[in-house]
Amino acid sequence: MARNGAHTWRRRTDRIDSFDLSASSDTDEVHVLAVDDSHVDRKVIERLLRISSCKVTAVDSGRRALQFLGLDEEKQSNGFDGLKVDLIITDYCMPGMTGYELLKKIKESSAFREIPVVIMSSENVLARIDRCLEEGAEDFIAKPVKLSDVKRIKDYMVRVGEGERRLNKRKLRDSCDLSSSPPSILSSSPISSTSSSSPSSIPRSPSILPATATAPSSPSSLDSPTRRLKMTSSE
Amino acid sequence: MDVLQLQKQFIDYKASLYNEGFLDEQFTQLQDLQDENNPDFVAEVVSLFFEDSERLLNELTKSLEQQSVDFKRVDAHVHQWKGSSSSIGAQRVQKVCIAFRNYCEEQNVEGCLKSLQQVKHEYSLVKTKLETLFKLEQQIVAAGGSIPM
Repeated sequence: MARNGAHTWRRRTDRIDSFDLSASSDTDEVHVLAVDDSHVDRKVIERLLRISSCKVTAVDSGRRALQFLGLDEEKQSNGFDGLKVDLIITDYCMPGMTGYELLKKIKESSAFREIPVVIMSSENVLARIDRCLEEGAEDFIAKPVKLSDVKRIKDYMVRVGEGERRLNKRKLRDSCDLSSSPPSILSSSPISSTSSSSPSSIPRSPSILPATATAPSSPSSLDSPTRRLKMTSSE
Repeated sequence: MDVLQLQKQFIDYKASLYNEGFLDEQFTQLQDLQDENNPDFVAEVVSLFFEDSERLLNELTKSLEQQSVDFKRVDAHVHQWKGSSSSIGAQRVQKVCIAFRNYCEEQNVEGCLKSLQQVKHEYSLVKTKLETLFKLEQQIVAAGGSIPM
């Protein structure tokens, strides 16, 4: 990425105290909100996402993530013309608000529940993974995060976006109370995946085993993510 | 020393770091993310790791000096250190952190103090080795060569 071209994005990816309120006009690229309290991990995930042609906003806490989205109860960002977020990727273990708590808050929000949330964790506790998936997380990545993990998530998103974009836009318009939700930027950017209640028929490759170098190329589509993960564990 | 010799030295040194378990596959992952437009990526990440580590070392030392050790707090710090070392591929530091966490769980002060010494030692080793590696890179570039992949 040329230094000049990356300039505007550099502002957005700094740790934000005040937000850059200029609305983004070219939203063809997937915009990811990355949440991690570790400075090292933020730097790595940022690079992984950028190299995968995503725009990135990296924040260091769940609280800041909610502020960025305009969901923080204490800080009302009135008229915040937020950058549309297509995916949220968050660490699980964070001081203050955990990734799980952040996930819940996002899924409880009518404006943002459609945004896919991916959880990252260094601890592959099956119960934890189950809990996150049941709460509506799209996927679970075992740390340390690799390029193949990010590529997989991104591929999945774009596929869903292209296939279901129109349907989702209609759903959002019908179901959202427009006065309370932040203005969405209607552009050619892919809308995030369907809500967790509707079964996804898009095949997903298993993600939790850190030892696997490559995920199977054509996984069978299974209805339950936990069943998929359990099957993977026994392979 | 000419470029070829420097490059050979670099290759051998780097291989030894992997062979001796100082670095693992994750370090390679980071190197793969570096390119002409982001030539300092690895150095920047490593530098953040050093900063984080110094901070955590201070916190851990203080926490373990307390009359009544707060094991949850100690564990939280070690967990962070385990995470960052894993993210850059500093395998030996990560391994000591895992043992350290076990002592925290057992609320074993002696074990924790021992682990603290071990992690301090391993950290200092990997820091020196990474600094040496980067220095070799700089020498190669200064001599007009390119850094072998």
